[in-house]
Parts: sequence; structure tokens; C-alpha cells
Amino acid sequence: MSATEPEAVAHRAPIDAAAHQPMLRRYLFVLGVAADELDDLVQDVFATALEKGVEERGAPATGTWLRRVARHLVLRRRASRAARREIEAADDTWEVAHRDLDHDDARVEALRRCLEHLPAHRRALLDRAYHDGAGRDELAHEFGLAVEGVKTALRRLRAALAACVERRLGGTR
Amino acid sequence: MNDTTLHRAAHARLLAAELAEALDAPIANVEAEPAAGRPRGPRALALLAALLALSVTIWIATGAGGERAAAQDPDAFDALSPWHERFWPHVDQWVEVVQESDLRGEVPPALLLHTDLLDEGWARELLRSPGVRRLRLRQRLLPRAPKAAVDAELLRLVATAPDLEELMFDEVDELTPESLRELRGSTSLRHVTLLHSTQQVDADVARALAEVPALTGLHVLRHHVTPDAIDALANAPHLRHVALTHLTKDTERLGSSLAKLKQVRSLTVQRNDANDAAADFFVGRAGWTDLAFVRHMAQLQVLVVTDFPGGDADLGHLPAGLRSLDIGSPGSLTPAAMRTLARLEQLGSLSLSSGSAEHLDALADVVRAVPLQRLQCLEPPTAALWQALAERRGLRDLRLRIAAPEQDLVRIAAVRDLEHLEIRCDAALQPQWLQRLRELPRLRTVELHDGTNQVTERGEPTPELLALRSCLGPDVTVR
Repeated sequence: MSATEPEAVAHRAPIDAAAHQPMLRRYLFVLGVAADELDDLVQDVFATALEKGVEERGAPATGTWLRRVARHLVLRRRASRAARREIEAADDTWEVAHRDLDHDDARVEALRRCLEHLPAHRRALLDRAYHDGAGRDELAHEFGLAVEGVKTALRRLRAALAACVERRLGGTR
Repeated sequence: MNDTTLHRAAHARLLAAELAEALDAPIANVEAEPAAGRPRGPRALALLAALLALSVTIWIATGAGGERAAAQDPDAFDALSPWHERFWPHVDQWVEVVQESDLRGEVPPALLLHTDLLDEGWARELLRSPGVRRLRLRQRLLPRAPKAAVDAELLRLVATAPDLEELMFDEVDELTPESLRELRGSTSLRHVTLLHSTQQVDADVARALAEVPALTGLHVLRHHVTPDAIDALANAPHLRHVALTHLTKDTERLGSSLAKLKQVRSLTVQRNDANDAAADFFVGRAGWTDLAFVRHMAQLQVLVVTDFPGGDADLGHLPAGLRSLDIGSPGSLTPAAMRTLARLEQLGSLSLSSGSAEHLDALADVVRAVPLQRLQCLEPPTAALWQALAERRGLRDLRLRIAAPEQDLVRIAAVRDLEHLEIRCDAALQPQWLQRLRELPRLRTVELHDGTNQVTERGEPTPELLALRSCLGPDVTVR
């Protein structure tokens, strides 16, 4: 936490939950946690931190510690061997994707820059599909596409954005 | 699945999560399919089979129909707001349709219909067509039988709307449990709102609502909600967001009933306005004495209790994971107890409608200690609070009453991360004072209330207001 702690209120620097939460949500989703379980698990991770009196020790170290707790909690919920293999592969994927990056949010920042350079109609398609949750029929009508074409267009956009993120991060790794 | 497939699936989920965050979209809306080029040859078949298996796994994990819809949690839109608040900015977007020609060939996503119009063929067709996501049902347009019950056939029809997510009953009386039970047929309906009716929400009505398979949110405004009804709501499997603005006088049972809503993440409980004699006549007053019931709500993240009814001890019951707290007037709290809010390490939003200078000094300590992104304080800040606001990083949304606008706008300009500002001020602002806000690099919207926001008798902005609107440049909207 960047603010000054008044002596009367706190005696230590607690984990900056707001700063780590987006990373933790992404990580848990990569591990295969369903969207409607994310908030609960994020809360469990921070509750564990609170319980153990863990202090903020800088973004990279705290992030690593929080991910370890998160992984442990997910493993506890999904004990089968297949699930364990899936979680380990997902954790490995996360580590590879974030290797040599300055911070945990670097990929999202790169993605935001990629989005800024998208042509307006493609950005609008993404917003309508993912932000507004518009259905494929609706999108096909709005953007003059076949219904199957919507799916293809979104898949291509995701592929293009993934490539753009890797290109941008190439210079920073 | 082999390791390559597992890694590709994980990478697709990574991109989906990043995309959701970058677009500020619910993760559940974003596909997590591998986005790379189309696979070819025998490996393609294996990969397609693996993807199919993954899709089936996801489908099973999230559940069909209702549970899948429930996964699109409104928390993803704005975790710091009570979910029902998002209805209000959309009030102007409702499209009221009283005849077919009002549609102009389009299906409005937010549709306002009077109940008697559903006798007409075009209205029935409209409901069956894709694209209607919000439906606001209002009492009969033609008052042939103003108290006629909303019949089962009508709600059976509503339940067939394929994309319906939100249903609002607006001044609709005589909702029977039998008719409400027809909403069980909808697998997409997630939110139900009951507005402005004299009808009581009793156990039978609540039981029928609890059977709506994907129900995640319920907002009941100006109805008399009984403890038995709250008991029945505890059986709704996916209910996470509850707002009850008028409750019964049954003080003893109220707390124990609310305590049964263990899965709730967002809870709004408000007493009726003591000055509203009409409301008091038909809804009674809550009159609860403590908030001990929240200690049973481990999942609670958003809590709104206007006219904070409890005392110092109640703050100890607030769950550690609370992200948003609106305690209205903290009159019954000592400033020392208020300082203990600093233990809520995830508190991102805090709202007070009034408080003494000592309360505001205590608030300053809380502002320093927790990662607030939004603060509402409807009393002019003390020097200690101004200082804490200037030190607080990450505060994006500030809603304040100010008393000395010229000096206070200079102080606001020191809150560096502000994106949204609301000012209540009895005095008229001068453009040169407001221009100090140009120093805030992220500021996008400024809302002016009370004496600062003048309109003519015809409702048009005064020249003074127009001058204020233009003084912050094109990147900042002043309204």
C-alpha cells in the first residue's frame, strides 16, 4: 500500500489486495477455475494471507506467494490425478508466459495497447461480444456477417491480438 | 489430453482472462478456445476431439441452462457497487412500446410493456424473438381492472423470451405465487425487481421466486417483505445479490432470517424514509437494533445499510473480505470504532452521508489504511481528511460536499488519480475555480449537484452552467 499508515490504526503494511486481485483472477482462470467461482477463491486467498499475517513485500514476491496459495486451494478442491495434471500444465503455461517480464500486468498492458490500434469496427465487435455479451445472431445482424462468420471473426481477432501481445513483449523480454 | 493440448487450453484461458480485463468485460463472456491457426491432418482430429471434450467439461462444470447463466456474475461489471444500482443509469434507455409501430422494425434490448398489451399478437411475438434482455412490466395501460391479477399465462409467455435476463415488475399489483411460479420455465432470467407496489412479499411469493432456476439477484423496493419471505429466499441456489428497501416491524425475527442468506455477496437493507408518511403507512419500519446477522455471511463483499442501526460492537461482525460499505449516517458509532474499519484490507468503496468532525477525522485514518478506489462523504471534509485524500493513491471516484469551493477545488486537484468527481455545493462555482481540475490527468467526468448545477425554468442549462461545462476541455464531461 502506498499510503502512509497511521500508528494508531495499523502496525504493519498489509497486502495490497486491490493491486494483486486482477492478476490473481487471471491466474485462477488459467488454472481452470469457473468464472462464478473466481471471487470466492480470490477472497479465500486474501483471507489466508490475512490469517497468516503476511505482509506486502513488493509486487513480484507477494504475487508469487499469492499464486502459490491459490494453486494450493485449487488443488485441494480438485483432487483427481487428471485435474492435478491440468493444473500443473496451466501453472507452467503461466510461468512461461510471464517469464522475464517486468511485472505481472505487463501482458495486459501490452494487450491494451494492441486494442488501441485495432480498427474501430473490429474493436466494436469485441466490445459488443465480450463486454455487452451480445449473442452471435445479434452480432451477425449488426455487423453484416453470417452467424458462423461471427465465430470465425472473433477467433481471428483473438489470434491477431495474441500475436500482437507477443510482438510487443518481444522487445521487453 | 496430452500435455500440448493442456498447455494450449491454458494459454487460451490466459488470453481470455487478459482480454476480459482489458475490455472490462465479464470473463464468462469471453471464449477460451485456442486462438491459433486451424490445425491440420490427423493431429487436427485429435485436437478437435480434445477441444470437444474440453467444451463438454466446461459445459458440465458450469452446468446447463440456469447455472450457466448464473456464471455471468454481475460482480464482474462492478464489484464495488450494489448490483441493483446498475439499473438506474439505464432508466432512460427503456423503450416503451404501446403499439407495434413504436418498434420501427427493431427489437429493443430494454423493453417496457404494459401487462394488458401482452394480449396482442405482435407483443407476444416480440417476447418470443431474440434480443429482449430486459423487460419492465408495468400495470395495465387501460384501467379496466386495475387490480387484476397478473395471470399465469402472461408470465408463462414472459418465461419463453429466449434472451431475457432481467425482469422488473413496476407498480404491478396482485402478483400471485401461482403465476410467478411460471418463471421457472426461464433458464436465462437472472434478476428480478419488484418496484412500487402495495403488495406484500410473503413466504409464498418468495418461494415462487426462489424457484427461478438462474436467479442471482433480487431487488424489492417499497414492498412489505416479511421474515418468512427472507427464509424462503435462502433456498434460492444461486441468489447472490439482495436488496430489500422496506422490511417488516418484526424486529426479533428479521436478524435471524437475514442471517440465513449465507451465500449472499451483495446486500442492501434500508429502512423506509421516516418522513414518508405514505410509505410508513403501508410498509412499516424495520426498527432493527443490530447487525450481528452479517457475521454469518462469510461471502459478503458489498453491504449497504442506510441509517446505520448498530453500535460499535457491530463493526466487529463485518467480514474481512468486505469490499464496499455504505453506512449512511454513522451517528450511533464512536469515532474510535469507526477507525476499526481500517482492518478491512480489501475495502475499495466507502460511503457516509453524514457524520461529526470527529467521525471525519476517523475517516481520514481509514482512508490512509485501506485501498479505497471510491469514497463518498456528504459532509465537508476536515483538514485531516483533505490531507489523507491527497496522500491516497488509487482513489478513482470521489463524491464530496464542499463548503468553500475556491479552496476546496485546489485540494481536490491534489487527489491525483481521480477519474470521476461529484461535487455538492450550495454556492455557485466559478469556471476559473473549476479549471484547477485540469491538473488531474485521468479525470473524465465531473457531476455537479445542488447550487452548482443550474437550469432554467424550461429545464435548459443556464449560461453559467454552460461555461462550467466547457472549461475543462473536450476530454472531461461536466454534467
